[in-house]
This record gives sequence, structure tokens and C-alpha cells, in this order.
Amino acid sequence: MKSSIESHFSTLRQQAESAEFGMWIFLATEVLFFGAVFCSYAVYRASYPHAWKAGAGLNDAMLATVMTAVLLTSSLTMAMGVQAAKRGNSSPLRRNVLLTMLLGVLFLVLKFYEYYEHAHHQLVPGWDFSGYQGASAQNVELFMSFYFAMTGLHALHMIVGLGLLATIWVMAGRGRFDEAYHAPVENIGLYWHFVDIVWIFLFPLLYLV
Amino acid sequence: MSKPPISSTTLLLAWIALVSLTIATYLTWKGSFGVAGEAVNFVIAIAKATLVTVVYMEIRKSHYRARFAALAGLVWMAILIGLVASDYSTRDWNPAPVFWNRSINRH
Repeated sequence: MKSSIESHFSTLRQQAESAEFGMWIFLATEVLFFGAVFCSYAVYRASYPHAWKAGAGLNDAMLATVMTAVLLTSSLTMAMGVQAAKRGNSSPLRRNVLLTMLLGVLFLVLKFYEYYEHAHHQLVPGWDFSGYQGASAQNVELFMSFYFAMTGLHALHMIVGLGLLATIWVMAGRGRFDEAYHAPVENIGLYWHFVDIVWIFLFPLLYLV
Repeated sequence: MSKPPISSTTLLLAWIALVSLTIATYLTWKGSFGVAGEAVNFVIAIAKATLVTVVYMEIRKSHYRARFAALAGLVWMAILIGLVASDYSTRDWNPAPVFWNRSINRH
């Protein structure tokens, strides 16, 4: 066994289960964090349904579909990384974590390209929203505020996730994980999948109204 | 940890299902089915999230404490949504007293 048990745990299994429990509690708080934003979105959408439809029309649904596929594929590679960690295979673990990171970076590049396009077309609320000349401009601007806030929060979570994955990649390279000890890989995997789930809901709410 | 690794076949099948559902979401939107289409897309999103939670996050194999924490998150979110919905859907039932409006207008 490459890793020792912390002094306040009796067994490695107890330590791993505690870590997993802690991660799920953290994810429950994240559910509430994003839940509050989704609630606000729902209230304003019910108030301004036409503006929401017009606002979603400013976004590129095809690009978002591709981004969704990229993120779902990153979840697959992450799950394969966890699978490799459980089997104690360091090489496929590192390969899959690296692939997950590359797919995560690709997602962010596409996301920031989308932001650039909105800035180019003067569709950034609070800064320059003169690019929209249709009806209910103020309410459409409100939709775009939600768009930037929600996707921005999601992107921030992804950037944090990339940092965590990089740490896992380095630790795996140093041979820190084996069949018995791989709780950090599993927990970072849980975080990454959660970020994926958030996007699964953002996709229809912000692009397919 | 005690959980055995999931087979590569299961992981790949889940991925195929997830990507297929994503394409179905896009096609439903392209079909312009209105509110029905939006409802279908929301149901698809729930199905995808469930698939990720069950297959990739292995919630069914987790310790009951972890499952309880996940359930707690959903219950608290349901409370949040329920209270917000009840607030906004009942605001017009009884108009606010006139002196409330006067108070608001002063600030």
C-alpha cells in the first residue's frame, strides 16, 4: 500500500468512504448554489417569455450541442480514468485524465469563442448591448445577463476542475495511487461529473427556448 | 474503496445514450414543437443527469451516507423551488395594503 491511513481513521475503506461522503455534502451545497440561480432564471422567464425566446435566439444552438457532446465525452474519459485508478493502472489513468483536461480546455475555448462573438456583435449586457435592435431590449438584455452569469459560473467551476485534474495527473505520475488508495481520483471525478450535469440543464435553458 | 470498477462497455453505452439524447434535444428544438418541445427537452435533461449520476458517479454503489447527502441536496432544492413558486404564483391573490406602497414609494 503506497499511501498511509490518516491517524483519525481505522481503515483505508473508512477513510475513503468519509472522503466520498464529504464530497457529496459539498455537491449538495453546489446543488443549492446553482439551484438559486436556476430559480431566479425561472421567475424571470415566466415574467418575460417572449424576451427569453428572443434572447436564446442570439445564442448558437449548434455550437452548444457540440460543446455538450465535448463535455459528455470528457465525463466518459473521466469515468475511464477512475476505472483505471481502481485497477491500479497508472498509465491509462494519466492518459484519461489528460484527455479529460484537453476536452475541458476545448469546451472552454468554444465557450470563450462564443463570448467573443457576443462582444463582437455588441451583445454584452451592462457594457454594450446596442447590437440588439428588436423589441423588449431591456428584458432581452436581462436574459443575456443570466446567460453570462450562469455560463460564467459554470466556466469558473470548470477552471477549478482543470486545476484539480492537473493535480491528480501529477500525483498519478508520482505513483500516489493504487488499487487500495484512489479516493482523490474518485472524488475529483464526482466533481467533474457534477459540472457536466449543470451544463446538461444550462444547454436547453439558455439555447433551446 | 470497495466499489468494483465499472466495465468499459457500460461506460461506452452510457456515453452513446448521452450523445444520442443530446442530438434528440437539438432535433426537438429544430422541430419547433413549442412548449411541448421544451417540456420534452427538460425531461431529456433529467434523463441525462440521471444517467450520469447512476453510471458515471456510481451513486447506487455508494455508501448510504453519500446517497443521503445527494438526496438532501435534491430535497433542499425542491423546498427552494417550492417556496419560490408559491411566492410568485400567489402574489396577485391579495393586493398589498395601500400603506405598503406608500412606504415603498418614499424610499
